[in-house]
Amino acid sequence: MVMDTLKAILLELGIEESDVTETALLRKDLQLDSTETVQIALELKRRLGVNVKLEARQDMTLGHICDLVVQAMALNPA
Amino acid sequence: MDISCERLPEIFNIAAYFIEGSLSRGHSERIAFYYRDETYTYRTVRSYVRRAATLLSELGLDREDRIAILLPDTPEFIFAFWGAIWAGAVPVPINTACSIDDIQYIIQNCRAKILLTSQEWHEKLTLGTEFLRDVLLVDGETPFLSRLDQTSEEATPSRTSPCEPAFWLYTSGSTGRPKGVVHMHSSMVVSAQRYGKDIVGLHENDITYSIAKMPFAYGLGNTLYMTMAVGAASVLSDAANAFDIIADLHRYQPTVLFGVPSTYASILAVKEMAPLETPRLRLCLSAAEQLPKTIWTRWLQAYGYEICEGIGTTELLHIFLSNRPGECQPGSSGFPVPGYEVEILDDQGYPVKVGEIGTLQVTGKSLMLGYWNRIEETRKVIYGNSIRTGDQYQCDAEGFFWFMGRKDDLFKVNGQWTSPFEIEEVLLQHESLLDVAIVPQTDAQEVLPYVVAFVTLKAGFTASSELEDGIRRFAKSRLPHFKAPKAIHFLDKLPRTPTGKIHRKALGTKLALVRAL
Repeated sequence: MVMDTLKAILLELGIEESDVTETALLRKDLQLDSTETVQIALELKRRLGVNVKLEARQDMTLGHICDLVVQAMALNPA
Repeated sequence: MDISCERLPEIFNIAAYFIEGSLSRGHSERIAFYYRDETYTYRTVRSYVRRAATLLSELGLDREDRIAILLPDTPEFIFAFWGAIWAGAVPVPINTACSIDDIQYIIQNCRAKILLTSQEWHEKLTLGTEFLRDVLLVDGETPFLSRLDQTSEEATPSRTSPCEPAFWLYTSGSTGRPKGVVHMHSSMVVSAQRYGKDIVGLHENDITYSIAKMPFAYGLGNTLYMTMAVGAASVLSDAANAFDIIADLHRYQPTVLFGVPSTYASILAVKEMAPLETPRLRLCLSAAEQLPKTIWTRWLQAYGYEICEGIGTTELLHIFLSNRPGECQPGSSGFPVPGYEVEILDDQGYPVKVGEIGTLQVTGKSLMLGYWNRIEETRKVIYGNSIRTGDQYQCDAEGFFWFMGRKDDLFKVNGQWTSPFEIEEVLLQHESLLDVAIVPQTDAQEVLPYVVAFVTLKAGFTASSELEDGIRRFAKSRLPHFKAPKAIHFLDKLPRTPTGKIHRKALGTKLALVRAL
């Protein structure tokens, strides 16, 4: 479910569906910039009600982001 | 106090002046900068700078030779920069956000004898061999720092003159290749005193945090030498987005934030997710691009700080027009920094009347020597001791200066001079809009230009003809009819120059493409 939401956000940012994999890195593989990583965090907050501060110093895989979202949801169940 | 190269001692080395000065004022054990989990005292900085001077001299970097520094803000950057100047050589910082093509051009154009960079960058570059003799790496088998550890720190400062070149900074310019701006040893003394001390009021207990990195003139002052002039500390940051910046601000608790408009906007955008908690922060500043009044107001409402905006150029090294803390006029660039004479001139070179738009001319002692090997462009902007910046300004009856766009940004609509910023400011108040750029359009049917907006949307909004209609209605209700955009083009991102300014020429090209479809 989380991956589906993340995928929908990435598609809206213009990322090709075939590039959206659990191991894809935001910066290195998907070429997302600092503004776009913030935008993903804002969308996750809007759609799933979770606070996941996507810091950009270290590149992050989509799988890792999903883990962070799941952890955040467990801490603050809707 | 008159600070100029003529008034400084005949033998004057800016690296020695700041570094030895900080020790003689008793700052040796004070923290000069923070980098990740490490802190560096002024004594440590002095030690590494002298080691760097020794090493660079041993490698054959002679007086007036250039060393290119292609690094993010790191201790190695600082040691190499001051070390080169200490040895009488000339550091040339290069922004890692530049294109590979521009980086290679700069290394070649400045005829760097040594390049200091990382392995990753070295592998990406194709380097000419005509001038370059050595590449030093900060990582790999023999990192720069470990080489410094093995080098003696006996170097004495080179007996340079205050009026000779000390360092270069490359500026992007709106067209063509970057230009090397050559600055003297005296330039930093002027900016540190006039802006750092007189306006910002920097003192030894300050910790500064700068969004602009050191290869930018704004970042160099904020992080490197203005703090050093008073024994304060700065943070060397590798923050890449708003969350990183907020984490840094929480971690280091700076007292002075040197921001840029887009950062203030980003921090505001994530306020609900990551509210700022900075009890020690005493002052927020902004430069590099016109700060919209909307952002100024929202920042004040959200966090209780006004943003003290100013304008500077690489050619004058730092800020020469600035608001004063506690007396900000939002949307304005403030008034002249002490020591700078700022005039607004008409096309014939005469001062314009109050309220009229003209070209900015600035006279100040931090003026560059010129652009390296670009005599025509140098002579086009320098008039004696003054420079014409290409910015269009007006001054109100109270003496506040208002930015009206670049000389080539301003346009006439309905027979009236129109500033894109005035319209962008209004559009940014629309709930859906994240970023806006206004350009004039003239098409075959209508000889007179009309206004077109390129916009990006906030998360949660989708481009549609209904939304376009809504934005146009919003603009019409708040602007004279001729200033309201006739068309809205939705983009994923606005094109920006490497310094973060809106690339209006690129938008003009986009417009031509839209029309061709």
